[in-house]
Amino acid sequence: MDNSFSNRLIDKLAKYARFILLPLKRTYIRHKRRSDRRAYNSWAAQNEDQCFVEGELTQAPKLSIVVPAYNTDKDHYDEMVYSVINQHYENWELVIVNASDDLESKDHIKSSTDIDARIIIVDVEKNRGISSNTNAGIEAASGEYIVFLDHDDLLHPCALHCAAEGINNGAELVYTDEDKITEDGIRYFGPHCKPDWSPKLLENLNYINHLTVIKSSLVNKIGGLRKECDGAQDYDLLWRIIDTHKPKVVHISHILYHWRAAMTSTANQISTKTYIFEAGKKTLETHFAARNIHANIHVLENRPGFYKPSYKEAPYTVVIGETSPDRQPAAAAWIHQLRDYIDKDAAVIVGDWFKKYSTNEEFAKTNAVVIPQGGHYLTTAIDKVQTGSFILFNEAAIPRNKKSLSELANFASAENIVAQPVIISDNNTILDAGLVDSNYGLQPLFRGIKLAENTFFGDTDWVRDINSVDNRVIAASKSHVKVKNNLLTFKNEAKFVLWPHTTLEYISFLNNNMKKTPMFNSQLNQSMFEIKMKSSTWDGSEGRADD
Amino acid sequence: MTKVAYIIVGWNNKDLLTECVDSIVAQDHSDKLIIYIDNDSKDDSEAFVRNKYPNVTVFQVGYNSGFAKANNVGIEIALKDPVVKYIVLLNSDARLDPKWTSSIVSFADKKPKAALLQGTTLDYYNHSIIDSTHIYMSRNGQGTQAHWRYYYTSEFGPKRVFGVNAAACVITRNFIEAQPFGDQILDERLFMYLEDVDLVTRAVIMGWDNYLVPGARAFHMGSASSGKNPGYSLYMTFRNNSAVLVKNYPFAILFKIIPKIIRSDIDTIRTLRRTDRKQMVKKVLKGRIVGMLRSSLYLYKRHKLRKHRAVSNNELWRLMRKGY
Repeated sequence: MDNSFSNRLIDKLAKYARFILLPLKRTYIRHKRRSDRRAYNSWAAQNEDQCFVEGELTQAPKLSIVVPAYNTDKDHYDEMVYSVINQHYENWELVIVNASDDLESKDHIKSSTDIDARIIIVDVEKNRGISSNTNAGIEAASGEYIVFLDHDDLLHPCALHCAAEGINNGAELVYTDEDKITEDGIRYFGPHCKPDWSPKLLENLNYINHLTVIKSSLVNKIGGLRKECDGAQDYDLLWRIIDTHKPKVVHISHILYHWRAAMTSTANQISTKTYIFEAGKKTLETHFAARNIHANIHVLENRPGFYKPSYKEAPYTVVIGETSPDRQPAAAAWIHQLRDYIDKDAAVIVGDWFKKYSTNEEFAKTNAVVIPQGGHYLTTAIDKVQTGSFILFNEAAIPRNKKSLSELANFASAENIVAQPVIISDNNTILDAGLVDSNYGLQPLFRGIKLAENTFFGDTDWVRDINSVDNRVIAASKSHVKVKNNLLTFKNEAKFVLWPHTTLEYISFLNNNMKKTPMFNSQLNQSMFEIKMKSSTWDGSEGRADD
Repeated sequence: MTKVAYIIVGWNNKDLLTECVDSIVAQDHSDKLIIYIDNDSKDDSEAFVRNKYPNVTVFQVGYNSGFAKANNVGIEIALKDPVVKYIVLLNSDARLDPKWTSSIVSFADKKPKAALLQGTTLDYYNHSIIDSTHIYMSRNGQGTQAHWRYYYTSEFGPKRVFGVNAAACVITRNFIEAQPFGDQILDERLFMYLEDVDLVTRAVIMGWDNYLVPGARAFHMGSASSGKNPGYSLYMTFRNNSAVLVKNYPFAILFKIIPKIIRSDIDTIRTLRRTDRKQMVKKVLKGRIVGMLRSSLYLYKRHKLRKHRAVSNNELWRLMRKGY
């Protein structure tokens, strides 16, 4: 729900006519959601007919599509096979691992070799779980690249061609956008337009998912899928390959994969399959051990597939930015309030105006270090920071959670990056969540959208790799920053991550420095479909696709 | 090299035959067998072909037997040669691009379950307009040429489609030999129009696949033999439509189709009246009524075909849609 004029008018009138206008508003919103869904369906139907083939390919490597099939419904299986046959790209082979118990399904799968000469059926004597079955398929595959496809999902006719284009750009791991299709295969819904290579997002959840194309030499060197991680075996494979071989990752930003799923929300799909939680946890534990970072992995209870690492405790300092005189009384009250949310030993570096607005005992409790305001305020403040990391507040904002600020600082110091929390208004609308690169320059991410809302680009409360920050509230270490003209700027090696587990509720601004940042002056008015999210290079693997 | 047989049926079309046979001779697939079936033409077509193309096998039926019977005769002659693997049905007003046969043959060699295949058939007079890419059966029971009169901007295929247009298509020997009725590939009782729809529906119901092959182009003038009498074509289309439905479709699907048939017929009649072709309305109605009366003639074949159904009702319903 946006904060439009009509919504605000209705809220006002609702006090006097709440039995008439509120139900109307609810009906309008429900109708809008339903028509948005239908709009996506018609767009997706046109997308299916659209051809993304542009010109000849320099190399056409053989792609092996590996499908582990277990008691597949006949119609779903046929649709899957024909969606591979209808591919524009010709140099593929389809390896189907027939592990069905049900005889009818088993015979139907066996008879599908008649459809095309490039279809290979691998028989396994009994079903040993999805990892061993897929590994049997990978062994039988003879292509240079392995494409993972589920037994009832559909491919866009240009999917393999686009993947081959990515491979021609030197990629060893290619992933594309996807959407979902209903059980009967009629309606499209729930698209997911993914960002370019974002390792921090991958640590939060398996955003890569489908469609994944990996070089088969890497898969064989890593030993295939791990049986202990059944349930999150693809996630585990991705992390092991990324940590060991650091492949070049390319993202194809077209919706090329249709995932057959029931249209219920994820909340209704909570199953008691705890082995999925355990599998993902094991994956991330291996991953963090490989990176030599000490972190405990927590599984979010009502959201299967989401993981939250908690890092080692690290001390931090709070730096309050320059405050203009008319804001000082309110800022002082805010700092007193903030004390409950900060560690007891953490120092708070403020200007000398603070003593005027606080009593003696409040001042003592705050553990403040006072610096004179003026031209060198920020330089002196940063110099006085003695801990590894600091949290800089250029705006007055209160955290929603008592522990979240220390979580933010632990994250920033353990990973050695600049972390940005999410700043929201009191009705959960995101005001600031970092800046991302797009076709229209740097744009604020998800501004104006509610927190934890499901969008085409994923949920708004995922950990994201972003391109820059707006300098409102950040957690960084001294080695990343330098101060120029009393403004904070970042060195080239600094990387930015949005940490949405820390949410701060906006109270007021402190100074007018915001007007001097480049973001304030740029154009903001673009629609959601057109903004493409890019991320910076990371760990040597190229993330930015040049177009 | 796999041998390909080309079958051309002619009825008073001597002026069209030269280009047709020349385009076959120019195919780069070398192992060919060309068969010309004459339906008792009065304009000397048979002698003309025998003189000009001595390598072409010519057969005279002796009377106007219709499109279906003539093609069946040609297929029988072609299959006598055991090496022939693919049979091409070509209308006398259709011409082929030189690479047509090799594209389709190399595609079909990889597909053991392929029954019928076609490339993109373009309009003879304007090569950037499509005549047909494939045939789809829509849920009102009418088989329609897909992309008719669309602009040819991008390549179509490879795609598994519901059916192909018999103007320029390839039938595989495997499918012919798997026919449940022996040698009647095209239903002779239909005489003209919709035999291809009947054939492709039979292929789909028996579980075979029909394909649209990329890169294979043919050129078709459209209704050269019967275009001179549009009322007759309309009458035969509607007459044979009921036959195709009764012969092939399961009752559950017919039950769903019948209201849609009524609705689309009413729309057709209204369009004809609105566009100043009132005399055609009589043909449409006569075709429907006669078709319904003739349905009992196909009940025996329907009964025989039931055993060979390999496709579930749900899947067949899903295959019958406009975008397919």
